[in-house]
Amino acid sequence: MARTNTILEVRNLSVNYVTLEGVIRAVRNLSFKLYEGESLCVVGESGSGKSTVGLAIIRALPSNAVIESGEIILEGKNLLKLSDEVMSREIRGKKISMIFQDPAATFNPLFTIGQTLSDVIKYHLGIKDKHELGKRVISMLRTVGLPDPERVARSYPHELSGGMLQRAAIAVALSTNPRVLIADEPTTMLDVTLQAQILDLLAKLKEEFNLSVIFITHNLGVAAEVCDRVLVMYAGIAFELGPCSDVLLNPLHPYTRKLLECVPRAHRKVEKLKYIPGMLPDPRNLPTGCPFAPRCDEAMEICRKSLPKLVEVKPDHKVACHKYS
Amino acid sequence: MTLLEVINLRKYFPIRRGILGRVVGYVKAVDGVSFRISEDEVFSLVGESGSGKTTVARCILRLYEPTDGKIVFEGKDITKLKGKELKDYRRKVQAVFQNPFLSLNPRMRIVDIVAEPLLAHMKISRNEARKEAIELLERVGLSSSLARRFPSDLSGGQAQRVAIARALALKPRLIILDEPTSALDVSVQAQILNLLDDLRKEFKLSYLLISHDLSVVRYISDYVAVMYLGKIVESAPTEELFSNPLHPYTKALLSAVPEPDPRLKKLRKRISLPGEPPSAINPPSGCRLHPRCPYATERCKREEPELKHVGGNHYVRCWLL
Amino acid sequence: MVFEEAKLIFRLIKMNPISMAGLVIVVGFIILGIIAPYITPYPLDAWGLTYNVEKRFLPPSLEHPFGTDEMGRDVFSRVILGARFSLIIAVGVVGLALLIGIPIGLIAGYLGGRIATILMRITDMFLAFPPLLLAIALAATLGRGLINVIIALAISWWPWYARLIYVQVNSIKNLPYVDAARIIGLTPIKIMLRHVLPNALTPVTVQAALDMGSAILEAAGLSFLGVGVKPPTPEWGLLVSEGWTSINIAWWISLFPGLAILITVIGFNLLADAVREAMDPRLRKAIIMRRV
Repeated sequence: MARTNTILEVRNLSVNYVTLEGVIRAVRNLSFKLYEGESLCVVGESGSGKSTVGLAIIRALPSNAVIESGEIILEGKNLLKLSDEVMSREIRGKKISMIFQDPAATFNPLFTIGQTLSDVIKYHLGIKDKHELGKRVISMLRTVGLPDPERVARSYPHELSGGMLQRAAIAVALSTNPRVLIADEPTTMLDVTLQAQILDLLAKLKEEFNLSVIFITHNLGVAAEVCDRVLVMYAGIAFELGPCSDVLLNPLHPYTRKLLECVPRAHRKVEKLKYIPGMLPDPRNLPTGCPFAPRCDEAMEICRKSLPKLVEVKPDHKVACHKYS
Repeated sequence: MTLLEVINLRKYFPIRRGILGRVVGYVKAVDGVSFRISEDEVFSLVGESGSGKTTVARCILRLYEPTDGKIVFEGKDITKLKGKELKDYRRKVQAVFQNPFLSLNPRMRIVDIVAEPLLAHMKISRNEARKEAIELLERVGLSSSLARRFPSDLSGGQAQRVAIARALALKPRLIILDEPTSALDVSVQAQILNLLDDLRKEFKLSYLLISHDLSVVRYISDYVAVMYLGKIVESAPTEELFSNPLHPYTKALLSAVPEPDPRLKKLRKRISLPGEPPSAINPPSGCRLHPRCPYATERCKREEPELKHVGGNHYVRCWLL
Repeated sequence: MVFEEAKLIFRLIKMNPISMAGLVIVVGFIILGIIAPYITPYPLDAWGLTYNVEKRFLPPSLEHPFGTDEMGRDVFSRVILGARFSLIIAVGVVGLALLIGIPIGLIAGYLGGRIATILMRITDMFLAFPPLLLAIALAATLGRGLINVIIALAISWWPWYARLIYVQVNSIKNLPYVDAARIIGLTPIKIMLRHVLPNALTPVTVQAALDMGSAILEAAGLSFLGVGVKPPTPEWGLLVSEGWTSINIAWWISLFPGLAILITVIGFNLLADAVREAMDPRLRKAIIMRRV
């Protein structure tokens, strides 16, 4: 695939959560680039830090989060250094939009879908003419495949089903023509057939709106459907980053390989599922060295001592594992 | 040997309006479901939300009273059981739910959670029950050092093991697994699935698996029944269903499941069902899928097809066959 | 596990000086209420068993830090002993209200249907009952007194707890662990007592503990109006009313018991706010970050 511009770059990002039981290091020294027009999947299990990455980019972290270090560069500017005001007015919802696992998070239950949509368009695009706003609302709802957009615009969030509400949330996210869309597990709460519809819709809209997408998911199958490149995270660090088919068909990192082996398959018969022994590490008590070492059957002495760094092992395919350094 | 037979099960939920609670309609959650589970078999009920699969399970567990139909377990219709007979039935049929943190009482220690069924049914002392509970915990892979902990101290995988130990305590014949791994992380799911498989062989259990996750279904089931809007639309032995699906809904369902293999994305032909499942209050006339089915004919709109045997224990409810 | 929660809440409260103040006041009040009879400098005065005509209306001094009242009794001792009575009233009212309200709310919540409707309608009826009217009625029929005050207030109070428990039980009874208890074959009573009630109690018990401040205030109000405790009980409200007629010449007789009420009730309110904040997960984060 032809290398195009980098539209968003995350450099050495570290995010901590302050809790009474101690400091949770949710994201540690993460670096990656999002290329223009691509779909990058951030894949990981709980505690991997994947959701934190999305929230950090859009600066919607909970109040006990602390960004310890790092930069997030969009169009040459470090987003982390921008004031809250500039962030709200220029970036969040305008240049970078986000959709969530629960579409209800996007909507104030007291307002109709149409009101929320037109508020967003008014705030970010400055369009005040009611007639024009109305036209845009209907057109946006139609674009996301909602039948009877007029009725949806008049509805309240609780009156819509999960699938329809998620479409409406996508409409809100794309109404301002953003450059980047962050999708945090947008189909996890939906049934399989609805999930397929939404994934198809997102693929279509990505082309139409020329979007660059960061797609966060724990489901490797969804990642395979959706992504151009995959970033595999575990306990806050990046383990593997590369083109989708490379990472999923020829995984370099032991974790990625083992994870793929323990996923049951619907499209072929699996005799005996392999599994990864042990448990995910306690985020308050991360081991020194590679967080996967306690469960890895290829672990060496050095794995318990130092964190592996992300290095390019094959063209465009990076791994963080002492096996390769 | 048939262990459980469900015959024409119906469960309608009344919809009430107004101060007097007048009944204005019914949600027909389960509308005529029949199937059979044998000894030593893993039977899966597959469907999306609104299909009625969970309601079927709850009727079998007598958490709901069926509106109509029979559920025959070891030769007896259990829908009318009361008192001691019902209690005896409960020893034989147990359940494991989706979210272990919701299915375990957060204020009970896990040894007591597992001991509770023993104390409820057998005349043993608390200490004896606790001892046996600890053995069960070890059998499902939990160290006895966790016995006095509370569920919130455990990880998702550990908590689900506790739920499984509790279900095993009374040595049931059938365990209903309601989305047993959906709330767990991927790397833990495989552990639990393998554990369930081992336990089934050791304790000679049958499982009724309720799931929307077709990959899990394919891995552990012997027989699969697909439900849509309160009815079974197709059922067959697992490999037969997955390699030769006949009903349009089954085909659409299978083609919608994403697979961690980018090559398959291009090879797989996607059959999409536009729109969303209609409500179960007023199901469509004729075949319930017809408003969304790409192959719907005139007959499909008027008449509801019956479940037909197409060979090899494979049944389909569709006019196109 | 409950202790873990309590320790956590305590640590969160320690982080905020105002919250700490509330905690200190409440703990101080409780301790005072328990040891009061043993530390009054003039115990006979405190119990109202003396009449010293030559010591009447003495302003505050070293021997009588809060002065003396119209019967020559040491106000300081009376206020201190008053803490004991306020504590008894607080615990009595809240305790009795819980005793009535919890079973009603639990049964209505778990069984639902017609029983719930009847029980909750009864609850609503009692909610409409003004406590003052009830106290007056009781005082008129049974006379004034500590027990009657407690009964009157508890009767007007229990519906709140019944409602709280009802709502909690309604949401808990549909949780999977209650289903699991039914599947095991437990009887409804066992399920209610072992699985539903313990998990429903938390918000109610917290609310009840903090309601004690309001109970003290309401009892003081009733006593002030003359339909509460009987003289010479040194209950704070009664003490305020006893000094009311002589307020121009001897302001100290009403002031100090009034201050006692004020400080105690404020203390409970501060503590209530602090606990509520500490128990809400989102606000918890704000507390932690304020410290950092």
